[in-house]
Amino acid sequence: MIKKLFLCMLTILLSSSYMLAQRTVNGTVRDNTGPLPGATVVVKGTSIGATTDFDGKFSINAPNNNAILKVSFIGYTSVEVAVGDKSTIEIMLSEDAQALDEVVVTVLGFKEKRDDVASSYSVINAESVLGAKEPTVINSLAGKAAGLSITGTSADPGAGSNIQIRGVSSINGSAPLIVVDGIPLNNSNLEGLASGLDAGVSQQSRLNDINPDDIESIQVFKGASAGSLYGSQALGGVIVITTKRGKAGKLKASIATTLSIDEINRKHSLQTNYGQGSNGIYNATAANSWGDKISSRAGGEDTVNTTGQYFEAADGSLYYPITKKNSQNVYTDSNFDQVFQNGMAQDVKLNLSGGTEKGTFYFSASHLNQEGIMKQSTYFKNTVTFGNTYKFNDWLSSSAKVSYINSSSNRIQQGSNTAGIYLGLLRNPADFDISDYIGTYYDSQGNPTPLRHRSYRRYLGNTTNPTYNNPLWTINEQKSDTKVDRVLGSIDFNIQATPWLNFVVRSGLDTYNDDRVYFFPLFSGDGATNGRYQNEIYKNTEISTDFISLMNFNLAENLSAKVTLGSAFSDRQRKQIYVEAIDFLFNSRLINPSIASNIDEQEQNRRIRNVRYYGQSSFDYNDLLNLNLGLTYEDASSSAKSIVYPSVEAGLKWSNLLNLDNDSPLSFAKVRLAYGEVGLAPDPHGWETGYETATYSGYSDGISLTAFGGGFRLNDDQGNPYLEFEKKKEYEAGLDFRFFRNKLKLSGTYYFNETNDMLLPISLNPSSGFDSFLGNVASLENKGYEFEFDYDFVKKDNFSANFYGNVSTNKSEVTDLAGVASVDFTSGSSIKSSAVVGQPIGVLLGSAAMRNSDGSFDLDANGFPKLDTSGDKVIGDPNPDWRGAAGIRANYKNFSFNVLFETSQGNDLAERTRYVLYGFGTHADVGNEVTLTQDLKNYKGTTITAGSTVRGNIADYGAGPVLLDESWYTSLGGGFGGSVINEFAIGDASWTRLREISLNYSLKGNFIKKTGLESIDFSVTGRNLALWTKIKGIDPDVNQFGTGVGKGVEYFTNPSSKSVVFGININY
Amino acid sequence: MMKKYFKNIIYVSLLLTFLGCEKYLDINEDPNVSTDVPAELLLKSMELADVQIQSGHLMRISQFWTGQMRGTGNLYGRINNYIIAPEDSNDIWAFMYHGIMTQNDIIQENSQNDLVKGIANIIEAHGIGSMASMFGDIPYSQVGIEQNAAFDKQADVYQAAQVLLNTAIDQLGSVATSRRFTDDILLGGNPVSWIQVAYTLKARYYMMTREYGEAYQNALLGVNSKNNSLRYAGAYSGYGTTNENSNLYNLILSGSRSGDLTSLGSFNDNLLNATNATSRNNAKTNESRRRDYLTLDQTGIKSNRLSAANAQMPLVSYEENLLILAEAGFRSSGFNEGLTRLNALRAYLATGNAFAGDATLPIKYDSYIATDFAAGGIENADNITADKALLREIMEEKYVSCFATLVPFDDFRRIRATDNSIALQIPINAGNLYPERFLIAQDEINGNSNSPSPIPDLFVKTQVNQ
Repeated sequence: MIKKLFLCMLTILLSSSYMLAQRTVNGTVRDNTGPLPGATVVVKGTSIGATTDFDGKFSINAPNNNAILKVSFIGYTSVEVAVGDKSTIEIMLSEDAQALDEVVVTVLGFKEKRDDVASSYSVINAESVLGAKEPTVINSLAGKAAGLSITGTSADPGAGSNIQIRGVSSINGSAPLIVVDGIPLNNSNLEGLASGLDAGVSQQSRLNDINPDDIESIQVFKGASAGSLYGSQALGGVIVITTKRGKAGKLKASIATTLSIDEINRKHSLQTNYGQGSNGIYNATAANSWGDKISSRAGGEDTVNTTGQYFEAADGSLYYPITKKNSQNVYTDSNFDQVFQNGMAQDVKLNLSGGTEKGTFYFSASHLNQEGIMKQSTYFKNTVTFGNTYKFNDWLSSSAKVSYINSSSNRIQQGSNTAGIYLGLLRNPADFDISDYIGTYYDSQGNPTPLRHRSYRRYLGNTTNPTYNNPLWTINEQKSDTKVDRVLGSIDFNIQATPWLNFVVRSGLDTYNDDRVYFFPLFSGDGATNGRYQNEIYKNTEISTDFISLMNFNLAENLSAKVTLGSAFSDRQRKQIYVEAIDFLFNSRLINPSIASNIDEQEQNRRIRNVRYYGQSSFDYNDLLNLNLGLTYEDASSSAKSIVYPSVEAGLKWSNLLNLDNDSPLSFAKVRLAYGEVGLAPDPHGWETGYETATYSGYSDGISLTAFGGGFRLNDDQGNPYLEFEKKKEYEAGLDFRFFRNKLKLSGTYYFNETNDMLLPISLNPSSGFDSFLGNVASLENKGYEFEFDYDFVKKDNFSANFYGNVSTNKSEVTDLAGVASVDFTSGSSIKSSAVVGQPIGVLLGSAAMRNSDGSFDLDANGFPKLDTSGDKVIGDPNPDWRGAAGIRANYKNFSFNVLFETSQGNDLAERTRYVLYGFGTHADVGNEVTLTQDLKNYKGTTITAGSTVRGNIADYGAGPVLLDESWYTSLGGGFGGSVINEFAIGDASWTRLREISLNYSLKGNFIKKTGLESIDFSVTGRNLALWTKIKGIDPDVNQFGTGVGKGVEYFTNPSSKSVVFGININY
Repeated sequence: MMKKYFKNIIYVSLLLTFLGCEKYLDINEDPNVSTDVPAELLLKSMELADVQIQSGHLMRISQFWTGQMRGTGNLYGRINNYIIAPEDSNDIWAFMYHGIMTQNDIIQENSQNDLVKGIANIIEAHGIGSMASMFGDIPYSQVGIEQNAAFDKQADVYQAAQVLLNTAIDQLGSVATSRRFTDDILLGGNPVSWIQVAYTLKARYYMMTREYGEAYQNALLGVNSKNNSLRYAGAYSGYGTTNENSNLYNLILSGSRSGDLTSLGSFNDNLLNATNATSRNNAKTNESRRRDYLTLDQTGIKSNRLSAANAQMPLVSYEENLLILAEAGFRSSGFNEGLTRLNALRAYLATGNAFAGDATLPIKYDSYIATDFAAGGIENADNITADKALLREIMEEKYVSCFATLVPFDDFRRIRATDNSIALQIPINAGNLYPERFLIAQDEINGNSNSPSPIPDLFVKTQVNQ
């Protein structure tokens, strides 16, 4: 049916060209540089129109000599020319600086006049991307568009970031589609088997592979109406990136280099008053720091027993069993400084472009070399791009672009991981020096074990398991390398079949190989006591092809139409190979599985294909009313059913009805209404119930088929041959205003969307014979406001300045989970980010304190809160109430200045690091000493008499003051697991930051011209220099769980950085 | 000219793409997993699921509740005192219904191999009988037919298990006795052994339903040697070579929960301890070596103990069959039959082949004579009737001989219902009631509208013991 409809439409549209033939007028349209291809020529008051060819030539049938030709081109001021009796006409168009700004690129990559677009979008220009001087592209988008939220994961060099537009649209993830020059770009952030979501290392986001210098502009399309052409790929919105092309004219060259100095921006504060141990007594192998008061020790060297076992560090230092702790030394700062440093990033970018009327070329190369704020963390990236355009003849032209990207990075283990850096460093007692982390252990018989790991819980290195890593071991002995090779290629042909009909054939290839190696030598934590080598290779290839026909008509006087018909095919496949080699045969530093006695290999393949046919027609009535109608048909290999997505957008420029002149305060006004649908294809290969191997475990007693020689069982998770697309509908309404000769621009949008048929594994009762069943069952909705402004408050020859910014809100609610109590996006039992019906998506679930009906604490006999054992409660919401950004951009002569503040308000963070460190007794909050002015009880119920000076804090939970001491912090008031009151780990993580501040000076003029250069720009930029937040110890803009849907949890997550960046840009 | 040319190209390519579309998209078959595995290869997974049902988490809990072990820390500390949640039954229910029944349905439907089909049916009967014993009324007859299966009466489940065992015996009877299925890790696919196991299971279930004559008759055809006993990994040569193919006691006593349970100081441990007041050692009996063998503690893992990585755990044993003959024989034929059968078991124990343990420690299981059970005899110090004294000793012997299975929990509940005066004096861990069942799995409560509401609590007797 749909086939017929499309063919029918196509036929009608194609045949409509043979109409009306009167008198032929030929002409050429030029600007001051030469002929202008693609300009529109219409006979005013009629539907007769033409488009100029590559030589700027057109041919049009004028009905009579009174005809007036209206010639327009995006970015130029339109002109009207009377035909008279002329048969050839030369028309000059001049650039309209104002209009040039207002050109936008549609989701398909075609240029469009901004005021004609009725969907809501934001434009981020190249200067603003490059001006951020971020080593990764994604982070440079932060704060630049309403409704766009960028959340970092950590300051690991090259670490990925989460991009979200208008909140989360599906429990199965809703990363926006990235389209570069009309071709989708893979922006995956794969965790893999070797590095868990909650632990392991920060993985990269693949969008960061591209060279930021290649970007000409970025547009963020937020609504479903704009994305519906992309169907199931555009559930989370579309980010359209346009890259630079060569231009006809002289060779242009630029070389830019920047140097960035990075520093940790927030540190967890630790106590330095009390030593390792418990109950106020020193213990050299204790996990906690609830030991003796360091200043009360005798001082001097520790008393040791030199008769038996000992540890000889690499530098010859000897460590013997401590029999009496005398030393008063504390190492908190020196330990920190051994692990962290000032990071440094240098990059060089080269850019060459030029061309002739026939063809242009573009070449760029970049090199980035970054050392992170954690020692040994690195990121190297090289990119090369070559692009050209070529005009074969007057109807055929093509452009092609190829990029090669190569990067490598060593990441540092973090998170819920006993081999992670922060876990070992922050739990480390103040009185333990981490310096000698490796050496030889001699047992009491004198048997040596070389390369032993010395950690604070094993200060003699006398066991194979260090319990927790010494952070120096984490950075120096372990490796977590990733090497990425990526090729991006695209080619497109443009066929000008008739003046009003263009065909575009466009094809893209995106292929990468991500080769990750994780190496834990013998005696590492995280279960790698016997050594572990893991190699995980992702090979990802995506091919996409589009056939597009573009048609322009004038249907009647003042009514023009553009029709786009297209078909698109995509094929995405990924192979994952995983090798795990454990139980090393000897203590080797060779990073190769050959040293292991136990090797396991796994392979996973996935492939999804997608076919779309789309049609879009946009009508413009008298530059007043715009109406866009779209219809997309899509089928995917993973869906049992195909789907049709409609979209409608209407824009009314009602200011055009008002006869405004230059003196009226209002310059422009438009109202927009839009409706659209998008979807999400099911993950591939979910139809069947296959056979699997299995492990059977009741409680700490797993036995596996593999270990018994292999075997199979029918999978307990049932496949579903009826899986279909998840569907999102979105309604939006917006207003755009410009005042005071376009000096003040305001734009506001309200949207509401709902996603239905979300895929969710439903738990089954065991007697059904299966464990779970995947179904299209869940629903959620989002709604919010977006507001953008830009005010040119000074506009003079030498001095201009504008105030710009955005504000947005998003409120989500999970409306249906098919009876499932909660869907957890994160692992672990302490605090989870989950979907719960009736709650915003991603709420924090965890153990809470018992409360009375009036909301006050239900206290125990001693006045302390009690644990509510009735299960997890919603204890926080990581979604902000609103986000916003505001900045000032100013230019004075050759100076330019930019400052941008960003804020997020009302978001909660589970500060699990702080809470766990309370239990461990290392956090500064629990290192205080108080002198009691009245008798107080502690959690155990012991009364501590007035006048005593004790370690602890005084709090009042409603029944008078109580003493919080070790008995509280190591039971309910600190630590991990479901049996502490995790509610108290939640903090208000609202933040405001100075996202960016920069000053540029451009050296140009005759002095420079003499050297043959165009200009030299100098810049200094500060990133993240100031942060205002109630959260102590860490920048709240991190996430233990990487770039997934789960967020708002921080647990020994690697910290963030602030930077100062110096740049020089030489233009030729 | 150009126009027409391109029009045609577009028409043709659009047409081609529409026509080719379905084939182009036909790539969703899972490339990572098999969807057609020979049904016989599912047997091993059923065996592992069954091992977890019979010898895993809930069996260990049954030991806490019958004085065979003690839960001393964390979860096991709480469960030891009868604080248990329905979640603790989730895994066992999944193992039974998905792990055993879903797989067996495929085997019965797709396999032509009666040897495998017979074994698979015995495993299902073994699992479902234990489920009925632990949980009382459970879904069975509608499993695999209805999403929300009805709960069958406990007695009906036992009856269905008897029928299934008969089917299995027929299937295995049709197979040449020399045939083997070597993928069977329990009995090496020996049909003769499996038929004996089926008869012992029939006898076990007849004991539960107190049909002693039937039990006796079936036990006569039951397991007749150590080698025909059903034991975890009894026919797997690599047993205990890596963690995931090891003895379940070994795993928990050496894993992260190692300190949470122990046999030391348990009622059973005291019973075997010659120096304890409640010791069952006497002039004819020395349990020293067996006590060593049955010691389960994180600090006492040894290669000759039941906690060794490769110590075979009993599932359906020769000892159990001998003692069914003793009890059922006593109940259906009288004192002498009971005594003869008990002495047969003691003679077997005396060979030293029944269990390992520290070989330097003595064993002694001399035959009893009738006067030992007469008032004042060595097994009747409290002057009860000889019949009662014999039954008491048979049950006590079975309590020790069937250690590491669910049988002591079955028997203890049954004997308290039928012969409470001679029931073992196992201490109650908390409160004043003995647990009579396990709780229905939380996953079943959540997903099956036929689940009883409220679910029967721990102290409600199952149908057969009411």
